[in-house]
Amino acid sequence: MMQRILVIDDDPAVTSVLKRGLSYEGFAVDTAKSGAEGLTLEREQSADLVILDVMMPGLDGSEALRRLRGAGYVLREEAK
Amino acid sequence: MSIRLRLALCYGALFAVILPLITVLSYAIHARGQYDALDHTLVVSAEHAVEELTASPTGPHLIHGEGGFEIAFRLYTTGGILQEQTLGTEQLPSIDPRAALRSPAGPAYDVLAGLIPPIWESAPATADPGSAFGLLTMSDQRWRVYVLPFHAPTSAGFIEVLTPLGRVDASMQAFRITLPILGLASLGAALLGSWAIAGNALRPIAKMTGTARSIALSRDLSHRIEMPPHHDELGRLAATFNNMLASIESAYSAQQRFVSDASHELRAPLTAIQGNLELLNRHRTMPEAEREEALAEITREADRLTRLVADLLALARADAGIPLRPRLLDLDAVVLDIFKSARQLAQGQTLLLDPFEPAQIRGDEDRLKQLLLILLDNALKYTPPGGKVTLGLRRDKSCVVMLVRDSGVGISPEDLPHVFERFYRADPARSRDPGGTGLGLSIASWIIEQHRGTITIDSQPGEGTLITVRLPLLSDAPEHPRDPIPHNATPQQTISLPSA
Repeated sequence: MMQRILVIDDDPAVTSVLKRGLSYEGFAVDTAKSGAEGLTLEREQSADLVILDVMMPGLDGSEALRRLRGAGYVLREEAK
Repeated sequence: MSIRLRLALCYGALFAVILPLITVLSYAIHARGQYDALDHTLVVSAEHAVEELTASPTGPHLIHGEGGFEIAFRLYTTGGILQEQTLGTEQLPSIDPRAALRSPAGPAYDVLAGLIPPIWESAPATADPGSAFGLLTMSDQRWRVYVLPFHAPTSAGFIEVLTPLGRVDASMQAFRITLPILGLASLGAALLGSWAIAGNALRPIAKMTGTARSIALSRDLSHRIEMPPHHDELGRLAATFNNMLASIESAYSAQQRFVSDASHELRAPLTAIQGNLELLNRHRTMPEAEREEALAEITREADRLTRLVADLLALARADAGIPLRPRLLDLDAVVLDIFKSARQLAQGQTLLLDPFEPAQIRGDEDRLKQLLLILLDNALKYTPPGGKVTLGLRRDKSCVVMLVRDSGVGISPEDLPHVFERFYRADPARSRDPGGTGLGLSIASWIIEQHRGTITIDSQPGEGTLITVRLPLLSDAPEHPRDPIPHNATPQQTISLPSA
């Protein structure tokens, strides 16, 4: 079964390159432009890995992370 | 030498001058008063005795007991032979009154008491010209003597009046010993007291020094000085110091935020470029269309980096207070120029120029062009194809008004107060072009501020935005404006929230 990765970043250039690169490696990739959109996507279809930007307008990365942890995710690495 | 020590020594020196003055003066006044009073008593008693003697019908002789305990009388013949004396003074040796008259003694008091003018109508001054004072030592104490010659109708001679000085001398002696001791003690007390008072007054300063040092060491600008309980000079100093700390703290944190925002903004295009390059490297056999896409993305992100760095440089120059180069210019020519370039940027939107009136102002042409480009670029970015963007220029009474109106997505009321903040960007979903730097309006507001103008934004989500820039007409714009660009909203801008 294909592993799912969710990329949340407000910068489309970043989500675009991550999506193409990770797809080449054989992952199913979903992208979201904001924390809120990412959380909705995650609820609909749980991901094996979430790549999350910290600095985002609106619901930012830290808040999104807090909610994802509530959903059982474990923090591996954090960067701005 | 510390201020505390200097203050204490100054007080001490002051006391060291004042105290001896007071001490010597009080001693002199007291001594002079005591001895002069005695002399006066002697003179009065002698004159009184002479009156009694000469009035006596039985010839001159003393009325016994008249002198009392403290004063002794003696009666001499003109030849200096003792005729009579007060009872009880027989054991005192007799003196020749003529010797006293030949060499009169000086005052009974010492040099210090002689320094001040006489308190009483001084006895020697009023005494008979033929009379004289004498001083002698008998029975272990000094005696003051007054000799007054008299000429009665029946006889003549000398009347001699004596008084012992022992009691007054002893009291003056005690005075001379105690006063310096008291003076030294008070000087010591004054020194100690002023040391304590100065220390107490300076304690808040020592505290402030400590706080300042701990801030310097820890670089923690959130520290504040504990306010002294009184709102005095030191209280004001502490308040000023705290205000200064607060403004440094806010400038510092704004700077930190700016650096952090800037590195984040720089990192996004770099990530995209690196990622795409890695992709091209790893998958040499990638389809042509995907290869094209990766290359286009690299170019786009490199352009974005260039713009971002240019904007950051512009802001850095603004922060450094680099002055504008204002000169008299035709604003209508500038507006027309920018209107033409903006038509190249339009992607399906209609660009209009209305109204368009000639206007002259003093300003920096390059900066004004940059300002108009930022505003037009924003308007085009947030207006879908088919929409309308209008640029306008008209003259008002005292200012020129530049208008940029669009029929785009508008700005939501939550975003409106923040649009001038550096790197602030509204919800990215609303923008067609993510390539903005987030610095445009910060730069625009700095340019307007430097021209002493104002900017107003009216926006209705879904209907469009109207930006109004007012610049003073032929104003005396500052030749060298020094204010650096603020990190957040500038005071000149107004933001009108849409009416419900």
